Amino acid sequence: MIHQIFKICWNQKSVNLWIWLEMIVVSVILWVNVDTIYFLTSDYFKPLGHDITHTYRVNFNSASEENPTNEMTVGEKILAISDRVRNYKGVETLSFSFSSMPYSTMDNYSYLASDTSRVEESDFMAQRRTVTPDFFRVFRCMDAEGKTETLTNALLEENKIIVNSVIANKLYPNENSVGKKIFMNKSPHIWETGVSAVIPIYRTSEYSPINSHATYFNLLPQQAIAGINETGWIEAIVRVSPEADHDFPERIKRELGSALQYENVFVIDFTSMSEIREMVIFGIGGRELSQKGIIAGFLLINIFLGIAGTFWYRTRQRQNEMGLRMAMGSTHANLQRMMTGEGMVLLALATLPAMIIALNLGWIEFIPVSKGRMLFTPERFLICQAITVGLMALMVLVGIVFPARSIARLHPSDALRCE
Amino acid sequence: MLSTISILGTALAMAMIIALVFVYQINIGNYAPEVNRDRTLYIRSIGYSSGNNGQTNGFLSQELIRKHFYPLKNVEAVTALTSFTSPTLATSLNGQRMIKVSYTGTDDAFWKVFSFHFLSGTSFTHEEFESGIRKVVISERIARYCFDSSVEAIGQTLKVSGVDYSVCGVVADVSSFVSISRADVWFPYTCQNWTPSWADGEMRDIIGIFNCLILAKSTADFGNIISQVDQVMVKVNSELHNGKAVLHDPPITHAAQLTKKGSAGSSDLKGSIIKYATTLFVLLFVPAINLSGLTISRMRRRIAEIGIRKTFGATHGNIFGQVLYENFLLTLIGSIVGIVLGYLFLNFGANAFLMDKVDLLVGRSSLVDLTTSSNLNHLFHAVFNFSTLGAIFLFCLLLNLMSASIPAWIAARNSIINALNEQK
Repeated sequence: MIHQIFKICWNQKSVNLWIWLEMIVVSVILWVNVDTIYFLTSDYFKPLGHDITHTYRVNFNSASEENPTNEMTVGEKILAISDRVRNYKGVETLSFSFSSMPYSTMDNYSYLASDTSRVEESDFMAQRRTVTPDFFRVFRCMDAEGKTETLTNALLEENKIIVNSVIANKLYPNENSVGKKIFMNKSPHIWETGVSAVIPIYRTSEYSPINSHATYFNLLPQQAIAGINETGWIEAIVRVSPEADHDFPERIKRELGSALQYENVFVIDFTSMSEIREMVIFGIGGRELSQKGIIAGFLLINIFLGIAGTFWYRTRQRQNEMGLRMAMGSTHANLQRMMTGEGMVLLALATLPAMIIALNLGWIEFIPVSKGRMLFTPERFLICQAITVGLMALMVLVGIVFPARSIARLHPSDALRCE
Repeated sequence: MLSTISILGTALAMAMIIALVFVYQINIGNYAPEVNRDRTLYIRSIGYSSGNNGQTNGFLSQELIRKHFYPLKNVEAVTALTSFTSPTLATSLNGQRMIKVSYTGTDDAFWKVFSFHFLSGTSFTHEEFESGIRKVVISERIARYCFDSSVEAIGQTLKVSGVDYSVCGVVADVSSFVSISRADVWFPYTCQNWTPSWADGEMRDIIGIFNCLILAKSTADFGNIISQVDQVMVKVNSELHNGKAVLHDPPITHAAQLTKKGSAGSSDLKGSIIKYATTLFVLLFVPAINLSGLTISRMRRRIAEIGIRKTFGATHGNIFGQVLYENFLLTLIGSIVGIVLGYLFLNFGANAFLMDKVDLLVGRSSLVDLTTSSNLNHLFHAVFNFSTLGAIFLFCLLLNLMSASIPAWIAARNSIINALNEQK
């Protein structure tokens, strides 16, 4: 049966040529889009390592001063206001950080290695998060045993960092990395620190790949906060108790009123972390996802139209052949199956060259691949190819449905009369 | 049936092209308030390097712009505007109405470079700018919230970031498609000192918080302006003793400055163009193959019919003409369907393709809300007008005709007997 279908396809090669070419082109482009979508979403539903419910970011701004008294810095004023916020009824904890909060759009990186000889050429990039101990309480981060206090204590250890399991597995695989040394390349200096604790999971967003997002935490000392003179970068985040979390921003602004201001530094608003997430998530992954999805959908519809057109033409053109087959004993179902078989054979003939082209594109990194994120692995390639071929096959099936149905209505004598 | 599929194929291609043209217009085209994008050059960032401290990058300082860029010749206007992204609080009526606003400090030339629609009042004048007067222009949204109406707002006091201003004008809300001209309040930057606290010594004259936009009289003057700026930088550097100032880019066009990566990166126009050209090619190539293949198939089926018509006396011209006419009709119907599809798509799917920034702290998502009428009006006319739609239609027609002509021509030239023999 398959051999016969191959023959039929070959006999009609002049007609089949353009649809075959189109299938190759679309398979490749579709694969590129599917791969990007996979790259973005593969870890979407896995754990994030932080809990943003009932959390709010405190947004500060400052007016420039007419007569600067120079007694207190902007940072000290922020600390003063934050103390008042911390003491407000319902607020459980308040933390400070730079470029560390979930869904933060800023990041800082260092290159890490496990010994001095390798650190200069190290290409292992880890995101640095500078936080106060309360940060782990605000976001309910936990160590492997589910305890937050291990982390808050570990952060205070001098000259040590908390690493996540990606770093631990990369630099000290198969052993307990607590207590081991880490070397950081921050040209022109090399810093030596040690591991004080391991946090199993912490990633910025659902779009950060879970197995390659390397990050570590170091301490943000009080003096550093006091020394800042701009309000835009500091992340001050509060966790509010569930009972107190209704209309929290309005209530605290109303009840604290002018206490939320210290000379020229003031609180603009309290934005809930889930609101921040909504605003950021589109930019960091959602937009590209919908772009690729729309392009993929567009391509699939085009293939559907192409297949439907080709096979419709085919049923018309080969009516006499169909009639002959029916006269020789073929059933309608047989004919439909043969037609679908032709479509699938065409697809298979197109998939092979398409896969080779795709492999080459992946090799030269035409698709998104970056250090610290997902690499081009055989697993990724095979999964995405399977999805691509599956989608194409679906389009072929759907495209052949109507032409195949029209065969079912064919009466052998009518078909033969067309001769 | 094949005709239906051809129509759908054309419609899809048409809709996609419309979407792309729309996106292009939003990013690069002229519309209120940025009506002069094609004549504007941008200087957005500068670096100052001094031996020991490495390089500091940032926006431009007030001194640099006032001393060296304002006096440029052969220009229509030069404006400086602050680059803040964080919002602040605006308060009115003794603190009773408070609202988060994004703010821009700028000069009087700003209102020449951009075209704002004033609902009441006017902008501040040049003299007012020079004197550092505390006047502010606010958007309709703020006027309505703080003062109940744009007319009542004039002359009232608005406290922005702790400083009192008098409202001198109210403008219609700015479309969320634009970025650099968008804000809620605008005041003369001369009323405060904006030198960042971390800039010291010579750096204060170079690095600051301003963007500089130059409105040329015509694009032909671009070359002259760029060389003037070159000479300006030479002069600036001759006055520096401890370091060197280098612009990250020469004055660049609107399209190029969109491709800047971060405030200190250089623009990468070529890379962006390649990326978008590839996407465009893909999005047009596949429907093109489709349409060609479908049309050729359609023509093939008609070869016998053409043979019969030739026996009855049809000439080459007749046949060819009929083919063209049919395909024209199919393309026309397909295009109309495509226009409708395009319109629907833009209403529900356009967010995905736009280069917008997300204002984290302002508390309003700047994801485009196409149902806001002020957005719709500007751009729909840019896309949904006869010349643009006509151009797209002609493109699809050309595609259709090219794929129809070849088999039609061959069929027309075949001897009658061969044509008749060729069964369906």
